[in-house]
Amino acid sequence: MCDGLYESAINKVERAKYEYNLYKFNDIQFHVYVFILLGNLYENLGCNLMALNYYMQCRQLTNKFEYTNPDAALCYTNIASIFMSWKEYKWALRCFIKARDIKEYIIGGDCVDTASTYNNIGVVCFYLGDFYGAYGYFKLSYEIFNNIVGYNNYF
Amino acid sequence: METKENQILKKIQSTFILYSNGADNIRKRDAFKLFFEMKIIDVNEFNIFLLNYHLAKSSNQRKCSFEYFLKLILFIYSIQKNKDIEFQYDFNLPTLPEKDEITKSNNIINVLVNLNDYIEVCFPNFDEKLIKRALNSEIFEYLNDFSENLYKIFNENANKSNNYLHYININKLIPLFFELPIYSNINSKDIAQIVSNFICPWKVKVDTSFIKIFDELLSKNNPNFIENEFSLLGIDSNNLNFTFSSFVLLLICFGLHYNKNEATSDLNATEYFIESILELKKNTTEVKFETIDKTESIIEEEETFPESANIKEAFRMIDNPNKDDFSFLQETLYVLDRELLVLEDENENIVYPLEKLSIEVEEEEKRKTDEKEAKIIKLARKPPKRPNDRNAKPPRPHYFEDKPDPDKTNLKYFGYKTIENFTNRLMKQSINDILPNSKVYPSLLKDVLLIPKSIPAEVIKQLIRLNRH
Repeated sequence: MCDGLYESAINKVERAKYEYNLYKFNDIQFHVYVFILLGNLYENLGCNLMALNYYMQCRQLTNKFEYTNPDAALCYTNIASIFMSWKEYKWALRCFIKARDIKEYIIGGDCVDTASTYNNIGVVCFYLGDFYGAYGYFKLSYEIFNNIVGYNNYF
Repeated sequence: METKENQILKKIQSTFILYSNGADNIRKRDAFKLFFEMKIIDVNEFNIFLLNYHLAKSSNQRKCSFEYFLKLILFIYSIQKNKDIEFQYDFNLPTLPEKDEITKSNNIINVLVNLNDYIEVCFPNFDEKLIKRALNSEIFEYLNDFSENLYKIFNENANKSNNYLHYININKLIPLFFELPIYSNINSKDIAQIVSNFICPWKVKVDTSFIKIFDELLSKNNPNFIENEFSLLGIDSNNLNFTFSSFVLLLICFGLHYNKNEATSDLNATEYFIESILELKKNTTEVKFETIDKTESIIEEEETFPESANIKEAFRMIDNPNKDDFSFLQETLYVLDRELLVLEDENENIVYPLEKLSIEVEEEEKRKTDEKEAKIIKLARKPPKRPNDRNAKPPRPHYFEDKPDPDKTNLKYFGYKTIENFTNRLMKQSINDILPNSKVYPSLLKDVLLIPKSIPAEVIKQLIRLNRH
């Protein structure tokens, strides 16, 4: 994928999914990862509707978790990134808030994953014009990263 | 006139009747025997696992009906020939045929499955108590740490077929027992008894003539001693080939020999056998590279897969204002609208602070620009320096060794910041230096996928459970 060979990557992921289905193991998490991988690949190619299709299929699987697995928030964050590319900031904000609620309920507000969602909500508020809200979310995520990852971090 | 497909169906029915003794169901072990004795498939770990898995899916786990039996045959045939077979058949009740038809059917099924380069392999008798004890999940988990050394021993004496089947012939396996310190710890009589259970479908009585084969002194002087002895018993020793799985089971049975009375646990007996007698070591990276063949070390070329239909649709959907794509979008938005929270319109308060911020920023910029201009004006008012003036400073003395000026050296690296100061200040002040000076907008952070490289424990437990049955 890093070399830009998206089509070969998509073919390989689909083949892996086909061979995995031959054995018919009832492992939902594998299919969740596969759908998100394919969605990210199509999103990088610019095929946002195709990516949205896979994210919605992932949502049907993650709804079975019912607030027990933090991977349920992955589909909502990726759907929000598609809305950001379409400049639909309100839809993106609603999706990020849903992801935030899931992660706060399962993991808590002190983890790196929740800090990334706070950062993303701040970005959306910046584009909507709510600078005070954005400033608050950015500061919150910054301090969480400093406490967990350290001072000399990429974020 | 009967079609070919109906003829084939009748022949399969007749073999089914033979092994079921006229009943409607076959026991699982009889199905195994049928597949292996009739040379329908090779005796492999993979095939054993496949059969177990598919037979376990039937309603009755210990028996399978004729319909399921038929599906298995077609499934296996399609795998070996890489084809998708489609038969149109009717499920008639089986009838008792004559003896001549049975022999014909047995031969015709061998023709159906034209297996070129077929190698006869023997398999263990799973009805034995010793082998049932050997099929223990704890022992397999323990042996995973020694898998590479075991495979190394196996690979040194093994042969390969065109179907990538690794096997050891018994002519090489028995001398291997002499090399490994097994004979010094176990009698030849016990070894013969254990090996006799691994030679299915051939059956042998453990007599003095069979025990003689495992005598070290006699076999050393005669290289063809083993072949000759087996030919006297009526068995061709070239057909007695062991796979890696049966080889490992054999060693486990030797290990369980030390636990005849079942006083201690089977795991401790195998540990004693492997670590103290065979003196095998756990897996290391060095052993990995030794076991890799030269062919595997070559970088494989990437396989070219055909283009998937999904990609073509995706590119079609980018800028296509068709109704089908737009309706999909509408449906998704309708579904999401029900789940997500509703935002309240509070845009009036947002606009007000925006105006304040813009004013404050402008005032600060004005102050900075005014200060700069004032400095420039002051410098412009001063007269220029002349060398003959009294107020002028004297020139610096010239020393023999030119000492570097600290001011000039600091100017080499990013202005007034040296490398020493740069690292300390970069993380602290970089954000404050960058944002007001450049137009940097905030960016999204993507969630990271942490895909585990190992198989989860539940999947392993399922595999072990299926292999037991």
